[in-house]
Amino acid sequence: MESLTSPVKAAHPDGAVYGTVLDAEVALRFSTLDAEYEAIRERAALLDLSGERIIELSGGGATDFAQKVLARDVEYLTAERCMTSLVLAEDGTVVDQVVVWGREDGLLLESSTGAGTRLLEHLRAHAEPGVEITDRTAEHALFGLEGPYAWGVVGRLIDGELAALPFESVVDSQWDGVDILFARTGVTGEYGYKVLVPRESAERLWTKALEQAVPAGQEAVELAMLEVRQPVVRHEAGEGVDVLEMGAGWLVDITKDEFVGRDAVVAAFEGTAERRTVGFSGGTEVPEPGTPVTVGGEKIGEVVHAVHSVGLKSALGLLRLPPDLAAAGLKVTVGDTEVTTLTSPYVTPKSWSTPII
Amino acid sequence: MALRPVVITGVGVICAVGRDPEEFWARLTTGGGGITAVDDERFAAFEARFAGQVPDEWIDAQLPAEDTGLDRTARLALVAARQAVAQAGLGTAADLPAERFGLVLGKCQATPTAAGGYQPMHATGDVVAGKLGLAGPRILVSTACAAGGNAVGLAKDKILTGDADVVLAGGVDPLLFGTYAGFAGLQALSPRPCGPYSRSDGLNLGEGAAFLVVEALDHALARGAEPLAEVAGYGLSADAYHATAPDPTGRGGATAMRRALADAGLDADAVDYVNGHGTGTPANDAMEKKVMRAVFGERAPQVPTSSIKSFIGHTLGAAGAVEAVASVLALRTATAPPTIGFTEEAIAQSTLDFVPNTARALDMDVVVSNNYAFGGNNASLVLRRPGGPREYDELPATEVVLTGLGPVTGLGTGIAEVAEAVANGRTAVGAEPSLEGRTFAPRSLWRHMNNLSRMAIAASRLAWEDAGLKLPRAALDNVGVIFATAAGSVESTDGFDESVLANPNKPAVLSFSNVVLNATGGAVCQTLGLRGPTTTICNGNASASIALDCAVETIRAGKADVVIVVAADEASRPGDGAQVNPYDRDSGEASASASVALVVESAAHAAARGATPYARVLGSAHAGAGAGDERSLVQRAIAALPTEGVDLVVGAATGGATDEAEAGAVLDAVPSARLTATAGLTGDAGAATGALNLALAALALRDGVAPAIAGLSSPRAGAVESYVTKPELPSAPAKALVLSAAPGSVRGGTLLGAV
Repeated sequence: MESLTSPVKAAHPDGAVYGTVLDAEVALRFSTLDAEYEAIRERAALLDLSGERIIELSGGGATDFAQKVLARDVEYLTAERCMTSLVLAEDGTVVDQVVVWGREDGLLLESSTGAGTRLLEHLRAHAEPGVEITDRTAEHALFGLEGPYAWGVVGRLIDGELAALPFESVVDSQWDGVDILFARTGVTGEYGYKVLVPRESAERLWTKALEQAVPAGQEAVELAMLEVRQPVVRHEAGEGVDVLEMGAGWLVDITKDEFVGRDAVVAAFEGTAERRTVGFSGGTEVPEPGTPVTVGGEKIGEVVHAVHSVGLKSALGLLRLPPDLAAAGLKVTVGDTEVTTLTSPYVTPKSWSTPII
Repeated sequence: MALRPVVITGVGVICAVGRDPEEFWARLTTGGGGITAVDDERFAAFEARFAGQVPDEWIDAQLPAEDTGLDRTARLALVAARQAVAQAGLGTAADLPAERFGLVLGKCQATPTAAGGYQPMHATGDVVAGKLGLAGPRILVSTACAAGGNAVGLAKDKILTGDADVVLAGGVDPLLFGTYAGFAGLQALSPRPCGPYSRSDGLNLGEGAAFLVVEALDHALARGAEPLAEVAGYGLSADAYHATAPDPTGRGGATAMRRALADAGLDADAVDYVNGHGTGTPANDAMEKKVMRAVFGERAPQVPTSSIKSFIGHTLGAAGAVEAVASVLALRTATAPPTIGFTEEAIAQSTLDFVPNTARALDMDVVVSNNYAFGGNNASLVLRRPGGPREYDELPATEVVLTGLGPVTGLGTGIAEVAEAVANGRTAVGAEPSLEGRTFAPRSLWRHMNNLSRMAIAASRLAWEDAGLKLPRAALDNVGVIFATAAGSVESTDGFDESVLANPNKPAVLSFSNVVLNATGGAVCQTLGLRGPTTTICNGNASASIALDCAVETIRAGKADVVIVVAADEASRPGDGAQVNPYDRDSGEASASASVALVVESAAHAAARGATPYARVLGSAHAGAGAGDERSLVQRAIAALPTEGVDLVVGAATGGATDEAEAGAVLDAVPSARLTATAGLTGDAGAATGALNLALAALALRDGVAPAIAGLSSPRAGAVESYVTKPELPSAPAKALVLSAAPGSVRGGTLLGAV
């Protein structure tokens, strides 16, 4: 399967820096991390989500199939709602984290960045009669808006009535005479929206949106996600790590009778976890994944993933520690640096105190 | 299509700023607010202590001595009701036959008797009707804070159907400690007199009552009454969003207003003044501004909008009626009452025209009064200056059918299980319905739901599936939901009351949101994503048949093609294994939990999608208790219906002494029919029993199998041969009469025909 590139790449600002994330080439930065982060946390940022595959499940068996492959319950997901769910392998490891968009006939699955090919292969491997699995990525472009004033951009760009939609609402709407699919979502703790637009109108919408919002690349978005403990699967799902150890228990629903990976998740819920994930900050050096975590010289765990947080002006990341130590407010040593474990969110989003007016 | 013009000919009101309409209007237009610190020492428990209270002497000075022992709710209601009837010139029985005079009362709360302890929701209406001699249709509507406005709309429907010549419509609610604790627990109260549209830092509760006399314009003119305002239209909608918070987009509120304007045949440009809901909570006020912008667009800042709650607080079930009275007076006096509580700074920052602080002379023709409620129920009322007599069209005689049945009873879940039980004569008196084996709602919602909502959602979904309905999203926005319940959630009411008793500052807020009677109807709308017209009816075991009337009227008025009627109640006492044989002298009585939903659909809509209905709805009639006895009440309900050809009667009997009145009246009026009732199968499940009677009568018309009273040996009236004692009927009936009863209050009959 071809690697994904943005259909609006030609309209990206000059000087954008690209990188490969799994099967996708994405803009890591359009300008500077600081400027893009500031747009997410203080104003409104525009995201090009072309690295995410859009996969349609349709046919009479679509809902049953979705119930089987998704770890959360989508039986009554209507055409005006979306939700986030994990997709698991039989052994309970994470295949991907997807946004599920309810549709009148079937559903759309939005992969995480670059993980679409793996997701599609997994879905096809579990395919059943009565369900059609169609990759719709090439027909659309997906853009996001995130920021405490993203609602204002929605108002100016599309329709003010859409700005105050409840979280995880989906609306079939129009932009400039074109049918679009609009959702209130959000991954950074700020007001968040997504627009799925037909490919032929994508550049026009992107260009218009650029007049209202600052484009932010993958690095700024993933940093802002980490700051509110929104999982980025490819950084967090390590070898043999189950969803509880990942801290992603909220993205599965074991009260559902059956789904791929359920037995493993139930076993994890019933078993004694050896590790838990907890946030930390401290120091200016960003430790590599796998860097040992020690207390009094004794190794107690390791770094999962870390970045430099613009908001905290220090390193910020996740540690995997024994359950009784995976608590906030502890001093531990990462490499040579003393850090403090944290309770999430690690940064308080401005949107929490910014009303939509 | 211009329907018969309906007008208001009398108004009455008592609330914190006035004991009658004159004083009320004088204070609203020239005086100060009426919100004061609560006198009652118990309220010292709360940080916020302000409310719009009515002094006792205002009430008692207007009541005859024999009324002063009544409970406060009834006394408030009687004061306002008598004022309205007097202004309309309907003081004596000679002015109007009692059977032609109906009552629609809006109430939000279950209120206590004079001695304490809850009384049935419809009790206040019964007192008012009894004292004023109203024996026409009688409806208790309980769409929480939208009930008062909703009542005026339903009254208009009763005039259009010809079920009554005059309807007294209104709302009442007293200030109750528990409700106060609930709102305090939701952090919804302002610690000072509220500031709707300005500070928006919370609401004040209030109390009061208001009534409006509603009748046809030609009827009013013929008897020499002066029309005060025309009820041009009304609109209802469901947010389908949340139990207590309004849909922040304002979509539900905008839809209600648009529906009301469409009903009135007007567009938004015609609106001169809006009497807003304006509670003063941040969520409401922000949402309402969006409603104004959505409906009026760029003209929004030029449409004066004010909230009289800034004067009197939020009077809950009375609010819509009090505000309808204010709207009538605004039209009559060409004056917009202000929203008080604005500072100069707030005025400067205002993006819309909230008529700050000072009343304004405003020549107006069209006024809209809006109310939004817990449960996501919205009601808008369009009032206008009365026009002269004119030609009109009758309400269309749209054929209406029942296409889906969804019983959730101890007897079975879903119509297949229940039909099998009926055919085999199985009974399960007092048994709890089972909801095991499948989910009926997203788990995230289901796990927070009380038992009543779970049953009602299961019933609604089963009925929906039974009807084979598959509608696109846009069509779901017009599917109506009429909820029927005698008592609402016993589980939540008890849970909430216990929490308040234990500590008024730590009320069980989740239970509180479910204490309002319409909460379950709202949960059905939310879960099934239905946003059509919605309301909640609380007339005991007669609730379901009245709800079916509302559904039929909604369809006939062209406001929906599909309406779900869903009835639910919980056992009021634990089952004691009693044998229930309705109409038998030796029968026991047993209470049960159940929910039953019916899909009500226009025959044309059903035919277009190839559905096969169970039955046609041929007609219905309801009569309120009057001077006569219980038997004469049944007789009056039946007499209003064309009963020739009826071969099956499914009665409202529950095994008690009032069964005799019903059986006697039925055997007299329809001697050729055979009589049965479903309470022998399940026990008395309140409103759900009323709906089960309708459902199983519809099933009998299609399948020729009816609920049997196998144990009937000594009937209270007639011979055993007059009853259905075996499920298999000799031949499939062509017509069935289904009776409903809130004994001593209202009784009704619904005529169903085979397809």
